[in-house]
Amino acid sequence: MISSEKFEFLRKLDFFKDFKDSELQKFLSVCAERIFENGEIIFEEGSIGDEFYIITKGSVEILKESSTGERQLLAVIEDGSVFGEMSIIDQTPRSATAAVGEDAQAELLVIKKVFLEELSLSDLDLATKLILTLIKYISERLRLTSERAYFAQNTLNSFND
Amino acid sequence: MSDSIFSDLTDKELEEILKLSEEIIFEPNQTIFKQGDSGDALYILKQGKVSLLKKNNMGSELNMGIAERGMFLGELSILDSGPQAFSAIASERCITLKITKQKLDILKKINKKLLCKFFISIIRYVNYRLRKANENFAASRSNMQKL
Repeated sequence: MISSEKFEFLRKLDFFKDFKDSELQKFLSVCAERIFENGEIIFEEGSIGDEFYIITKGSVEILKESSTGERQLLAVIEDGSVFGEMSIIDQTPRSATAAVGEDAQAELLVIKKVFLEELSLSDLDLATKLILTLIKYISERLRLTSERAYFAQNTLNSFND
Repeated sequence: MSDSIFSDLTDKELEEILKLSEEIIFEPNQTIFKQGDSGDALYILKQGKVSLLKKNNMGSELNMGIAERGMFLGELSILDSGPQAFSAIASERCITLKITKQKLDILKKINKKLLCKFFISIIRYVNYRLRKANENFAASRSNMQKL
């Protein structure tokens, strides 16, 4: 994807709605681009990560190992999705595996933690905005996950009663 | 846990955060906040226990657990400006440190870096708690399957 296409693509995402055009341009300059294909693994469950991703084209499978050791498909996320962002905030292992399906291809923007650290030296305002946007995004996700966890726990409790 | 939540902050930074806080005491059965309230403050529980209640669609209130010393209350709403996900009621006399959104907005103007560090500490805390909840859930589910 050429750089003006990437810009237009990100401009449409809700994630960047608080970013000015100039800020989005600068953000793009710290992103790398990578293509994954044919069952390639982006990261493995349990590994420690230092980058997060935005899908610009194609889709990515999120897989989790079950207690019997099989990999189960949890979700397929499409272009426009942001994923792997927790590793920027917290040094805990990846909670699932991300991979590209067989005979499929995905184009990703890769944002490394170290690039964000460099950005915070050259443009603290923009780095802060990005971190606060990530925090808000993670928080909304954690809210959904905790609702589900509570719901599941309760359903379970009602069986045990 | 209360020591490790803020382990990334220096003593000086922690002092700066504490300067933003106000000590608020809740008597037994007093409501700290209600489910659906707009989240305008974060509470750090210094002493006492708090019951967390959630109304389901049938209107009955379910007990979601107990918050204890060193835990946060209202933390997600401070991060994403969404409504409180449950009600928090003091089950005994509680001493809390309240940090309002207004105070954090001021911090954003004068010390962005500290605000980010503080928020990141909260995210880590929530993430840790959620992982624990998921593990407990997985454990009790596998126990159930054995039955």
